[in-house]
Amino acid sequence: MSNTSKPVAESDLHAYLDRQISPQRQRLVEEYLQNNPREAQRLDQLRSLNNLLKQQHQEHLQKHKHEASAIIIERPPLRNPKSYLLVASVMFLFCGSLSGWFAHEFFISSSSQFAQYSITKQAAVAHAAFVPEVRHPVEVHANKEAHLFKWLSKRLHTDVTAPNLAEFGYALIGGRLLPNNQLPAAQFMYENKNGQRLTLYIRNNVQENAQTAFRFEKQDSLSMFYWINGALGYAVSAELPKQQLLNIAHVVYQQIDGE
Amino acid sequence: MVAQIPQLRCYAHSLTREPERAQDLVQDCLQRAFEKLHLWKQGTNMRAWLFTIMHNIHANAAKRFNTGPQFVSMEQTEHLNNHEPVLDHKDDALIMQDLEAALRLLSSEHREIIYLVCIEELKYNQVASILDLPLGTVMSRLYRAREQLRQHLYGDSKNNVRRLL
Repeated sequence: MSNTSKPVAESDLHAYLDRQISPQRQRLVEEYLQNNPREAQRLDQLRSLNNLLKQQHQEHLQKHKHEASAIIIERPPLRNPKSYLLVASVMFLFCGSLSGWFAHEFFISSSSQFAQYSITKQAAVAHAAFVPEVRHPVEVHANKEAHLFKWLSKRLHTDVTAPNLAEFGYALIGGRLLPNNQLPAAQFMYENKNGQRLTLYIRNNVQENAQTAFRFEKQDSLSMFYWINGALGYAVSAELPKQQLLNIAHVVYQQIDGE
Repeated sequence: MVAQIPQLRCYAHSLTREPERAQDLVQDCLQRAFEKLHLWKQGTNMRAWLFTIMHNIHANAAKRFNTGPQFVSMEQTEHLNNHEPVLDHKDDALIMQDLEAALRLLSSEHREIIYLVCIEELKYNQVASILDLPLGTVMSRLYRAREQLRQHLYGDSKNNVRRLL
């Protein structure tokens, strides 16, 4: 049967409603609806149903925003919810810009040069993905610290411990194992009393004898110091001023790599 | 990927209708996507790819825990059949409440098709590829889901129902 001779079917009515119909079939449907007022009425109802669904979706999006902040405010360790909200909203803005940056850089190649600097991208994405997480920010909680270090050390084939950042007011929440191009990576997450979070990303290197100085990178409000020392690469990320983060990065470096 | 999180949350909500399970689903999906990022083809639709991952996680979990299509009690169907259409009320809040009730009565398979077609406005063949279903199955689920929602909201006399082709 040709495109115009088939009788109007249910699929045509839906395609008409969803604007996925060919012009020829559209004419047939319009003709059909003129001659079938009941069907026209039913289609009107389906159309208002569509509008209701979209309206509900918008309301849900709005409500979800409020819900998300409500959950954050209810979190017990937070003594200054406002600052956390600020972090959350900044984080949200950051996410959008990050994705473009990330999409551009992440997939290009896995050459050794790429492997060296891509640590910043991977660390930034891991930071963005898990820092806003309310219920599961970490895979293994800090109260199982010994297990956490043992587990990550085993997966990264080298001794891994989380530095102590208490002097900066940051306590370890826990850690998680992350996939990296060829080798696994680990993320430790810290939180201060204002609910501000900081992550330390640790990754095995492709080139085992590489060595770099501290490097700084900033993407919107996220600051990051990273360096590579032998078999491991490190990135410390937080929404902090450069100097403040540098002090933290120094201590991380001393505790992990400093002899 | 991170930019898609709000849409993922909505899709998860359409599948589960429960905030906690929806959040878990988003988290699982992000983690899976993160692991499989190398499989994503640059230049293709990232959102559709993420939806596919989420759909699969949800479908597998439903299989495992048997929480897929849920049976509806007689009471609920009574309510559905004797339901007085709400359109006359002209009260937005009531209509929305009723829409929510109607959506909850749908199986998650039907809800996700409604979400992908009506909210995301995806093409039918994109929906079929996300759900890994034949186009015909997508269409017949779409008719049923829409018809069920419509009858719930607007009421219907039997003779008004068109035979589903």
